[in-house]
Amino acid sequence: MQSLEKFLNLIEKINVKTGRAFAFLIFAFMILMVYEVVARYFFKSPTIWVHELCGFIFAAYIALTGGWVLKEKGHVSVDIIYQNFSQKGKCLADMAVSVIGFFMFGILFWQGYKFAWHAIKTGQHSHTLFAPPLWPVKIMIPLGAWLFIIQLAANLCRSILEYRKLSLEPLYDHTKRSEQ
Amino acid sequence: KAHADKTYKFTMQNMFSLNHPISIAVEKMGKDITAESKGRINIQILPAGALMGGPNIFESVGMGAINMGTTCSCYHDGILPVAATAFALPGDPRDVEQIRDFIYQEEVLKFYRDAYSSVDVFYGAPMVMDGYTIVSKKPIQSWDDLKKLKVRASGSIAKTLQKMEIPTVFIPFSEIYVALSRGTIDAEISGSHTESFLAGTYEVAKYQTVPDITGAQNCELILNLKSWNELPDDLKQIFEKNLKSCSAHVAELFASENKDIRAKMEAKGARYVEMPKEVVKKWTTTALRMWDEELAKDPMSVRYIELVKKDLKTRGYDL
Amino acid sequence: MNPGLIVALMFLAVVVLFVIGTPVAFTLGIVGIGTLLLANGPQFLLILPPSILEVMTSIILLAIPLFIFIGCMLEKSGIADEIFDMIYKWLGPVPGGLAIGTVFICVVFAAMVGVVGAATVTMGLIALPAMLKRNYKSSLAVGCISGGGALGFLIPPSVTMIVYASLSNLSIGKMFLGGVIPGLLLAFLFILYIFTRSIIDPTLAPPIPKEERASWGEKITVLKNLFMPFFLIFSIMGTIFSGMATPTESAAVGAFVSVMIVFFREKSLADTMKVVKQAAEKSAHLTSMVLWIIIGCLAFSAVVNTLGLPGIIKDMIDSMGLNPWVVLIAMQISFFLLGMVMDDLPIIMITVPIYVPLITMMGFDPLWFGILFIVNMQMAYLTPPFGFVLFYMKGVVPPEISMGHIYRSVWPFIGLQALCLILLMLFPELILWLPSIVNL
Ligand code: NA
Ligand code: NA
Repeated sequence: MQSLEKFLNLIEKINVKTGRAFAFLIFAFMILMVYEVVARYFFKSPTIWVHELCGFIFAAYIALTGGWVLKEKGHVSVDIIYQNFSQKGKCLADMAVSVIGFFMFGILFWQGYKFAWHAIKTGQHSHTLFAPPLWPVKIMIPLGAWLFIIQLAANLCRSILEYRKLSLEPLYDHTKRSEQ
Repeated sequence: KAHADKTYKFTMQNMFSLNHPISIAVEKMGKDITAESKGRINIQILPAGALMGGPNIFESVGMGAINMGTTCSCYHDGILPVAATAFALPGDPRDVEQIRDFIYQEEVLKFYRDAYSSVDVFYGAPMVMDGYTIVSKKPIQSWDDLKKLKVRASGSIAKTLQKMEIPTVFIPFSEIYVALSRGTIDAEISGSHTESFLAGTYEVAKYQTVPDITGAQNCELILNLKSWNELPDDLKQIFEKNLKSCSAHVAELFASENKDIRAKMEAKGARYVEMPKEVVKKWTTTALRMWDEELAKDPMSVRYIELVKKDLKTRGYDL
Repeated sequence: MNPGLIVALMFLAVVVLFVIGTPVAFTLGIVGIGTLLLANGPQFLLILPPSILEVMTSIILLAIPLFIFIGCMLEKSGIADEIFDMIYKWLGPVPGGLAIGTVFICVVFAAMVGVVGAATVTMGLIALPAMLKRNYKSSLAVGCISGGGALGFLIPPSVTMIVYASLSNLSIGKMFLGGVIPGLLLAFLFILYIFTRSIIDPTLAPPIPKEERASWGEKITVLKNLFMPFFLIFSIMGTIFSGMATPTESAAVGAFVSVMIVFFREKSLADTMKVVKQAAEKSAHLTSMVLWIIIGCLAFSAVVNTLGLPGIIKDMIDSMGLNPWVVLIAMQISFFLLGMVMDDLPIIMITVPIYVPLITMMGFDPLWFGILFIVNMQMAYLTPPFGFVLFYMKGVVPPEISMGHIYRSVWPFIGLQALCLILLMLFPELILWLPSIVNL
């Protein structure tokens, strides 16, 4: 039981650390864009690489923060009915959400892997003047999906543990969970 | 061997907008093929952007996610360099009819199909339209005028411009209009005068330069190679016939549209300006040097340039 | 299978998944992918990675984290306190003056910030207690903050506009311009309403007592508080419309300037870094949420497109002989009803793939329709039972003010938004005029 708890903590730590680290990429594209404006407007020498590079950075920024946001329960839902469920009902619903989440991100991982592998195998690069290789941005899709998958697994375990706890201890203070 | 009664459902991603000549021609082709095959082939044509944008269609068709597509080979540089080479070659003087005629020569068509099949794509038909043109806020009357412009360009045109030390800018397509109107950029390389009309950029940058700075653009209709090979011979024949007439239909629609559009744009204040000889000359020389230098890195492109040069000679061009 | 049946099943699945609290991103993704798999087979799923990549590398959507970042920085910067101080001194003596001033600050905030939360939160903390202390009726105080906060959707920059424009292939610059006049019109309607009601009923929003009023000297000095906000507004809108930058670049310039402003005010690198770090994390958090909803929607809209749904509906409308205006009004009503239970993003994601092609086929201007949509989303922000502003207000008002009371406070402002919507439908020039003259 304790080793499971440790494992869940590890998964969550991976997502939180990754998410927080990649959140700082905002400064990378902020500065690059400002540089582009200055270079073009004041020095009449626009670059051919800023926009495309920013797009690549943005892909990492989005893909690798998704699992973190899931951990922090930040993916919005339309919860007008859900919020009226009992604690146990919420646990069951959460379990269902995690399971069907596997379906979506499993498919994204699988297709994203095929897509990225094809780019690596054929040495694809972009059609622009800058022409960077495409695999670094294409692997973001399977990587991002992977972070979601491990977080969904952690969430599922947590919901099951919570459900068991609620079943075993009917007098357990239910208000605790709703304060989260 | 395929069964005679088997039906084939093809999903096709079109990259052109609703009333674009290519969209109109392709729509008609789809209907004709279904009718002639007595319903054995069914082509579903999806509007631009429905599944993906133009740059991703080539790879998706090759990987078999979709069966067919219309796209422009300028996007394929990172996958099949010769395809990008073959698209609107800078400095190429040939017009729509000449390019279509060229591609449909037996030797050239075979070259195309062999090249495309190396990435699991069947080259269906060329969808040819006018070459690229410069649309600018100020008239280009000398080499210096051109050098002072911030031009929105991409692909091989941007490469050529950079060789001539003209600053190019890349901004997203949907922002070109506002960027021109606010002076973020001074000029754009427009797909053609018609494109400038459709995007409304002539309202904010009224100078349409002639002649075109590239050969006619050969966009294309492509199929997944496996989907194509699965077709029985009689259906292939129906397809081939309609692909060819679709290509002709596109050229016809463009020709009639171009006449209207010039009148309409001029009525609204656009001006067609002839680029000075010195600019055209400089452009052509730079471009031709690129044919032999840049493009020589890719063996298939070298072969393609040979075909082009041979064709130019037959047509009596002396470059 | 019949497309109608497939769509009915899809929407049923969406409802079921929403009920069990599935995140919007997952709901749209699962339903879309599931239907693609059943209707087109596994090979077709390969369309997903390229379309996801298009979204994740979109330079247009890249503006979203930057605009959110600006909002987070301003929330912490104390700029709002300073402008409120100015408003208090200038408008305090006028009946309803503080409420009118609150709307004014909301306009200024809306012009700096791309997300609506920032203005609502800040005004809830600053203006609400100040108004209640001066014996303003809570209904007016709550109402003007709610309505004013929602202006952030309509007055550029606006993240909702960016998402709408990128999904329907419109120019962000034009869309931003289209929102300016409607936004100012709506703010004017709010101000007119507050002023009229305060004149009719002096107990609603009494002027501040004579002894608290500021002298002219104080009034003039306090005007300097407007400098920073206007500098920031200029760095964003000014760079777009002067041609220095594209909308995304202007967002980067604005974000950069907002860091400078906070640094200038905090005068300490360590404090600035703290604010900046929080803002960066919050921006990543919200952007990731928004972008994964868009990604989830890709499969969903691929299904809508492969089924040819807009065309089918168009044929249905034609065969029933419906007037396009009837359809347009029905769409507005559907936005309003969806807005009661959902936020702007899920509504955009579900409706845009179907509505925008339909609108274009019927010959309406998609830019005009987009602004109508945005006005509707402002209403969604306020309409009970589900609206961010309602829950937020409950958190900041004194305990004796009930949820029911808050619901009643927002209705007059929803009414004004509806009035604005009708004016915009009747006079499309209100939206289209500004984008059309910028060509000159
Ligand atoms: Na705003
Ligand atoms: Na609502």
